[in-house]
Amino acid sequence: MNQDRMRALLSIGIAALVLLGMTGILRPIQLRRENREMEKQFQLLLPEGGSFEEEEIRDGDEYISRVFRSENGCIIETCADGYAAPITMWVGVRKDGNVTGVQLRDMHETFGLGFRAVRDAEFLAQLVNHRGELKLGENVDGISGATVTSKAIVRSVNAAAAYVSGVDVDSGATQWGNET
Amino acid sequence: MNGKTNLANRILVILLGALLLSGSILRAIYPAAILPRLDIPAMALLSLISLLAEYFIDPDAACSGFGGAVLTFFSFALLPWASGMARFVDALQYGWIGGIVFAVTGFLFVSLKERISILRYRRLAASMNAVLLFLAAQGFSGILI
Repeated sequence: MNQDRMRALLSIGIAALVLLGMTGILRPIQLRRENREMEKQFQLLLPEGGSFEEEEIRDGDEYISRVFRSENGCIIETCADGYAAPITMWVGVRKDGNVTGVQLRDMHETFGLGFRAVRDAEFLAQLVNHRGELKLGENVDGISGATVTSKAIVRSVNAAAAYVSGVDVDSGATQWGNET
Repeated sequence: MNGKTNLANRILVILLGALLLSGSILRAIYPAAILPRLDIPAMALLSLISLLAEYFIDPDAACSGFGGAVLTFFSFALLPWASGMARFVDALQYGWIGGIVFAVTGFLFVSLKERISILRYRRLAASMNAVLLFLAAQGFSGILI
């Protein structure tokens, strides 16, 4: 192996060691801040929600990835396929099925199109303070040029609301997500 | 200086390492940040910046070929794993995809720059090649989606 290749290999090794060391230092800080951020956001998504505890997912929609329950309702973490990658969201739902808050946590949609959903207040406002099924084009106007993203978000909110309000999943009641 | 110096690989390690470290710091400060993915266009962009920087430093550097691709495999596999961005299995996937992206962009970049290197504007021509190849990589990943 020539000297230049050895130098390149050595630089990869050094960079990996530096990153490992920094990850070891930053990881506990990151976890601490994540927990603090989670508590703060949960209070915004479900006001007067009290304390939340993660529970095991009972028979739920395929889009539901985590459930945090409090005495007044739930924060549901959903994960639905967007245009480019899965879209992760937190949805606050009261016990009666009323959606109180929606927050996009992770998405990699096209900049200028699907990614606008993160800050499109007009679109996101249609998803909260309602009960029952949302349908794109009927009671929700999607983001222009981002139909797939809009559908994924609406589907996630429907799935979260159905989970909390106790709609029978086996009956296909949450299958509306596939039609919107 | 000429021949296979693997300078582009070393520049790539610095770039990727700096980006991953920035990502880790940003996540620690602001956990809700949505950071870009390490996908094909991002890999192509990093590879092309490294190749362009190598060209600016050593215009006669040759395409690093298979050896360069193997080194890139280690870069894209080890660094994301070390930064906690990817699990080991995912990191291996980053590695082989990154290796192929680097090999393809490297081959195209070197062959294009050799054909249109006008003495006076050769740096500009090489930069434009890199921009065009990045756009092509974006188009290609759009087809995959």
